[in-house]
Amino acid sequence: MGGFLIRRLFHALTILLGVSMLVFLFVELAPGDAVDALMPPESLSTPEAKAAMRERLGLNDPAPIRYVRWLERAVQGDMGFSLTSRKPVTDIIMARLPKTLLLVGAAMVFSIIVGISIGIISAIKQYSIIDYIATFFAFFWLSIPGFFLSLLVIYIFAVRLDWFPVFGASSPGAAHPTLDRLHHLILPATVLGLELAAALTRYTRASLVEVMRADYMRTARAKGLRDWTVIVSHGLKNALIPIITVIAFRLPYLISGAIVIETVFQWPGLGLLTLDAANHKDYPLILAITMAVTILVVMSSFIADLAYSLVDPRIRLG
Amino acid sequence: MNERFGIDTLISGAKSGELSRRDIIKGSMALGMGLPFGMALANAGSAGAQDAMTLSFDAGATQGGGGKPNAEAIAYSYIVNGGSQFEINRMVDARLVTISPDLQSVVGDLAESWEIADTTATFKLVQNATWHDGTPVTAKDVVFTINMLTDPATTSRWGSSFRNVKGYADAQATPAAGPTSLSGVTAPDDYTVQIDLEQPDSGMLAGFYFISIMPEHVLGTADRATITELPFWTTNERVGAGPFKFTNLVEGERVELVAHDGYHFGAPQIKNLNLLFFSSAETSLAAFQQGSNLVAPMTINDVELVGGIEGAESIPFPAGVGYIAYNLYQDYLQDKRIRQAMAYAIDKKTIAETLFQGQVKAVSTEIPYITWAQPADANPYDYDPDKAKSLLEEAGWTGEHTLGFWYYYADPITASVMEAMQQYLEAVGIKTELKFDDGSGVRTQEILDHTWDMMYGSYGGQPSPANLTAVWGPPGYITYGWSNDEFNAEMDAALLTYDQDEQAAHYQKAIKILNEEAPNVWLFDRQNLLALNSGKLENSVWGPGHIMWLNNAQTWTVVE
Repeated sequence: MGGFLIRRLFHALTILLGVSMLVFLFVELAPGDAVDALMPPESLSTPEAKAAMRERLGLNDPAPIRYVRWLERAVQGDMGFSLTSRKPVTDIIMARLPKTLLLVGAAMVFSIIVGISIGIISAIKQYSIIDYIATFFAFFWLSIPGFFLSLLVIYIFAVRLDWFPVFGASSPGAAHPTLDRLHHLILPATVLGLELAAALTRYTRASLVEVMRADYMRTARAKGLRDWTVIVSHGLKNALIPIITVIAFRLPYLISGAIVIETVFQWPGLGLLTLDAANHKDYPLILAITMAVTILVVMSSFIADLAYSLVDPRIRLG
Repeated sequence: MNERFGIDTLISGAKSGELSRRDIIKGSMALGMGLPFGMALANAGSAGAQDAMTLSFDAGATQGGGGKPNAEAIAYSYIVNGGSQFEINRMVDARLVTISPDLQSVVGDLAESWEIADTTATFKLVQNATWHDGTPVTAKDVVFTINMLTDPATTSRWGSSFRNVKGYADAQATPAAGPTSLSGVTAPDDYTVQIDLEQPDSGMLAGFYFISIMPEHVLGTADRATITELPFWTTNERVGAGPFKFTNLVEGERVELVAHDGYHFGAPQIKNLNLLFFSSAETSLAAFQQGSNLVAPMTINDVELVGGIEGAESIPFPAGVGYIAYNLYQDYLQDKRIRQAMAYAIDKKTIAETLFQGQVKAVSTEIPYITWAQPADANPYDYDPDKAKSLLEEAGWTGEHTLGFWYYYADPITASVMEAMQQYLEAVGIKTELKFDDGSGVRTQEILDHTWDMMYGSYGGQPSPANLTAVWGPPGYITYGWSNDEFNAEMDAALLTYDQDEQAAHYQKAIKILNEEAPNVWLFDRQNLLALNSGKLENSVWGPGHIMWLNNAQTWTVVE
């Protein structure tokens, strides 16, 4: 286990370094810089003002030097200042990250509960009307674009029915902040989680159907165990192994999907921040966001490996 | 809550506040509607306080101008950039003088009167203005603000507005060891500011239209090179002299403000104000439909939708002039007849009436809304494709170039207008390739490299003809490659006189030169639209987003 952790840590650091270099390179290759974004040519800012700004932001140094300087600070936990807001990047990320984690976490919990439950029912009631309905909706949610679905649910559940807020993560002066946060969370988390729920429904169904045909399932039934016990104790446990992979490796999709959902619902997380940072060519912020997302993805892959060993004792880490 | 009841009872009980949150959720569960519905109703029962209101503003989505700062960028933007931070500054800060929302007249804010003669401008300040921390606003604050903005260490884009003030050149030239100050800006007493100019400058007031006066007692000792990094700008440390105090920036969500009871025009009626900045135009308008906010940006396409909302109306306000700009560094665009031909080729009146649904006016000159500066004999460039063809023939236009035609507004109307203009131009033999700027920086790079051809865009409403120097003077030359000595002479002459009739004569000649030389082809006097729930928000006045016009927010009232 110790060796496994060290190897994974080494891999993670290599990935982080590689990703940071690539992102820096891409930002560098994109036309213009932060000063051009802040003072576009139509603003008719004087060349002197632009030069002074470029000097002040340290943009006159060659790209490799800026990258190394950024890296030196980053390994000490200092991600620098945002070029646009001039606030510490760490502060900005830390203000936004919990909200994205909350949204993504809620979407994941929703999709796991709904997706796996429906998948199990579909597998058990194979070719029943329930199975057909579940299959129809699974393909429907997989096909419908998140942006359109977001607007649709906003129109129905917020504008027409007035059940939920249209936007944001909180109301000013809410008497019950936790309930208020949950109230704001329901629509975006549901929309974000629906695609994964649909995928999980299909994967769970397929995996469980296959497992239910296995010899050990027949043996378990032959021993006189009840159907439900056979499915939960023997079938589901084995069927879950590929599902864990799906869940773990869908996390990056959830995070990238959050960019669209956060924009439409005005959910103040990393997704919305990413758009702003990209629009402003704010490379310290872009790098920090990318690092944060990369860490999340690496962690999700690590958690998947750990979960394998828990679900299937035959898989040993190390 | 033992009695059985139905959904109507539940809803009315929740909204009237008769039912507790616990009962609402229990009732919802009992009715099989689940927790989400219960929570929604519970929230409906806790409506906001009567004296609170929420406004929402464009964070770059509705007007398609990518790259505008959002609420989080307010500090830096105040010093450097333009955009939605003006909405915050307009509420939190006070100006020395400013302009009416229709851009027609200069009005006092902290200055109750002013006198400008020859090379001296004297401003008398109101004596009842206080900062949000209770400290009186004095002339020292005005002096400090001008010195801070003109200090090269601050790198403010507004500093050059004061380039004609005595001491400005020295401040820029000297690599100063400490903060710079202009010899021409003084405070003879606590409520008088005197500005000495190098030469008469009738446009000097325009320099103040974008500028908030800042508190010397708070920022006076700050290092100007790092002043924008202070928590002052984005926390409750912010001290202004405007109608509302900045209390909280909820990162990525809203700016929360409370009334400044000591505001020099009177205490605001609204006690709590939240400013929102949406990234999605659709969401912004959906929130308006829901009633979550009382003001929201909108487009012409939304007029019918807004008209169907109870108490809502569409408010137009000046938004600048839509134009086609040209890169005169390109050899094939230097002959003015080619640009004039494009002006004749496009049927702007038809576009205004059809695609813009009559919400814009066809024009052919700069700042057409400032009527006294308009030349009576300006060429209207009425639609005349034959004239366009003959001008192109005279200019030897071969049609070998396909011109890149940039635009940056993301709305569907602009896309239609672009297609229409492309077809009009093609009909006279000018091929164009439409290029939408998605914010990737390609257009910016082409402008910097002088490799672009033409671009549809608009300046924000210019508040004064004096600003034409900034647009078509040296910075304009750098961007557009156009310069004209006769134009510069007329502008200089207009700026040197305080007699408005004389100014008008010079400005009219300068604008006539632009109209004739066509470095831009001016097309539409644009109006932006705002969805306003005037049934709930009374006495509010609206103007262009990028100028610190006086909004009289102290008189706004919310009707329940």
